[in-house]
Amino acid sequence: MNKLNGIQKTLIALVLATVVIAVIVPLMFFFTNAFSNGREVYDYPKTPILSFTVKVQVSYNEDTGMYIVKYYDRNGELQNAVNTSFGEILSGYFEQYLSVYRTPEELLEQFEITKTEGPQEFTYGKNMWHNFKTFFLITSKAEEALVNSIIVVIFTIIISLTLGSMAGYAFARFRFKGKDQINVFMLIVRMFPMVGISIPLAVILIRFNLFDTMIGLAILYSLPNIALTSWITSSIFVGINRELEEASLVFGANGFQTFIKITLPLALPALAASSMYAFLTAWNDTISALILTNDHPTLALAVYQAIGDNTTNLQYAAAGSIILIIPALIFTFVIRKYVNQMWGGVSV
Amino acid sequence: MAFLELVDLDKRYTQKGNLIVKHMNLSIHKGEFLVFLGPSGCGKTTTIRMISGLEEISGGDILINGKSVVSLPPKDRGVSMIFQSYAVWPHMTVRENIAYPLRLQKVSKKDIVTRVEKAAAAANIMELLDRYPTQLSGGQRQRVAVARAIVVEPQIFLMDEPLSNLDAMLRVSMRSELKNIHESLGATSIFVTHDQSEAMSLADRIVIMKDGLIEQIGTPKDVYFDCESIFVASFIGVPPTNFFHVSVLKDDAGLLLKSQDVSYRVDALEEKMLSPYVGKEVVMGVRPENLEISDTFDDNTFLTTHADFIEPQGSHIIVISKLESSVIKISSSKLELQAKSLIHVSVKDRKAMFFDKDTEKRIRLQEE
Ligand SMILES: Nc1ncnc2c1ncn2[C@@H]1O[C@H](COP(=O)(O)OP(=O)(O)OP(=O)(O)O)[C@@H](O)[C@H]1O
Ligand SMILES: [Mg+2]
Repeated sequence: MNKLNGIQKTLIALVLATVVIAVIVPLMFFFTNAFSNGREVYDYPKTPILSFTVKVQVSYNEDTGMYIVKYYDRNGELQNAVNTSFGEILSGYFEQYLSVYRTPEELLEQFEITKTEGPQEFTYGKNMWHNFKTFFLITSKAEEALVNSIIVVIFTIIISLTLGSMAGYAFARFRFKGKDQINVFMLIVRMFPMVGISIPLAVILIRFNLFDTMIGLAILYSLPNIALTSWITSSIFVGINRELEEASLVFGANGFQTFIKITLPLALPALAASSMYAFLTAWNDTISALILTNDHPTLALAVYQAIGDNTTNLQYAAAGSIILIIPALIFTFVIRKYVNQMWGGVSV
Repeated sequence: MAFLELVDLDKRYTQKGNLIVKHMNLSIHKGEFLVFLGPSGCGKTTTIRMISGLEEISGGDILINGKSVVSLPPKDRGVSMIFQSYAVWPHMTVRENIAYPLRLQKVSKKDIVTRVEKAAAAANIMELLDRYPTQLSGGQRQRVAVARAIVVEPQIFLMDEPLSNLDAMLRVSMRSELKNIHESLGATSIFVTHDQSEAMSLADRIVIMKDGLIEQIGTPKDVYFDCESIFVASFIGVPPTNFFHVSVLKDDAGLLLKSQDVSYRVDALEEKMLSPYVGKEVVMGVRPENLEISDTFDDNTFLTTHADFIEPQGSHIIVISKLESSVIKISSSKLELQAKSLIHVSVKDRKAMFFDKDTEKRIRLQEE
């Protein structure tokens, strides 16, 4: 018994360690990056703790008439920041690199004291949303990309759930020749990398005038998810007692009404799980979107491009990623309730 | 006139498969409570599902009110059904479950409320209306299924072993409730079971099935005392009928039935019936309660044996005795009878049934 406990303890410790290393630490770095200013982002070694303030040291050089601004990094060491006598430059630097929003007049007035009293330290509160604002500023079409992403997600879920659940129903309820082969074949579609499909699909979409449209993109994302949805739902449909459907038929419904009012609600957990997969495919993909769109990027693509164009300003890309994650998180939490029913809420 | 008629009804599940239901003919009157009784796999469920329209038929016809319904979908046949698994929808409250058929019929909201409450009251589940089926016991779910079945005011009520998932106590009380509901609705009911006491207590007529064939249709009394075949005589009754393979012998006094163990003097009426079988064997069946135990041997003595075991049943005893070729069971009111004692057994009031050994059918008096 004691030995077993020892093994269990080790296992639990290992699992915890994995969670910390693989999930929590990366998430914290990611999170702090998104809220870092332009200087903190390049601090080394990095602390995965958010900072809300910035400390600077300002001195006045009488010969040049310039303020010498130095910045305290996270290790408390002074780093050169900017030398200037102009309020606009000071204010611009503070905003861009330190995420501190102050008017030129305000800064000049505060720094005035260093002319008589020698070097002084100032502490400013960071504007935590600076990176997010900037992300939308520097990413052309960020708002449009967000809307596009939502549209493409909705289309993907509709297409893959409609076709997938119908296929799943057929697999579960009817016996026909070659059922197993078709089932495996559909999963093979899922094994192809989506890029592989996107190039031939691009040609087809151009022909049908669907290139660079959200519906075209949704068709691509639906391909692997139809198979997956059919797979997930058919296992649930098999578990639904036929008598539940037959009762509906006897009590006045036709086949279609029965499917909509009885079968689908009972399969809701499977549909919820499938829609989550569809959501994630459509929401996170960049490469296929890159191939299949021109002027209408999705949000993931926009973030990807923001990283590409701003390798020196990682914090904006990190902020963009957070914007990308939040809807996915919300969706997952909303849908989680229904997925959980699969494991006991409603017995079918 | 018959209300529901099955005409030469056939069913096979696969194109080349066996007939599961074979040329079934059955007429059911309006308001009748009919029970299908038979061993597992004899096609009871299949028949009832063909009537409801859930299963296609392979031949023959089904008439309701004189009109063929075989081309109609289940919803247009005016039947309602109680399923063995109850088939209460888990994602709807009890109220929604009962209202579902009415909603589909586009009944007005106000009428739905009153009719649902009336059905719920009849099934005694008024206080459960807003619960979900997962929050109900098996018996309560059963009542929901009943309420849903009666709310549509069906012409025909089909019940497929509706009580088999309930415990013994509940079964007995539920079955009298079902019978009450049937009577108050005046509906025509078909009830499937393989519990014969259920069949006996509920049925106006019992249909006894075996391997897709109807063995006998009759009142509970008929199928018990006046069996059409060896199967019916052995299937109905606990303990079952005692069977004796006897030879029909002719002597000066008339016909005598004889085997290793038994001897039975045939009376005039029976002689008429059995005369074609002289020199052959027939199967004689006697119900345990139609065998009488006496201490003395006389002309009527059918067989003489020892009471090997005695099973007291309270009001009566079951005497079990091993003969040369079979075991017989006798139901007797001689509570003081000792095990191992010698007994002389006779047939009460000539209540014996005779069956043809080859066809296994009852031997009846041929009408001239
Ligand atoms: N869907 C089906 N496909 C093929 N054969 C079937 C099907 N359903 C039933 N059968 C067969 O038909 C026969 C009759 O089945 P049925 O369900 O009608 O029996 P039952 O009298 O209701 O038995 P039980 O008392 O066990 O419910 C059985 O031999 C069964 O194997
Ligand atoms: Mg059955």
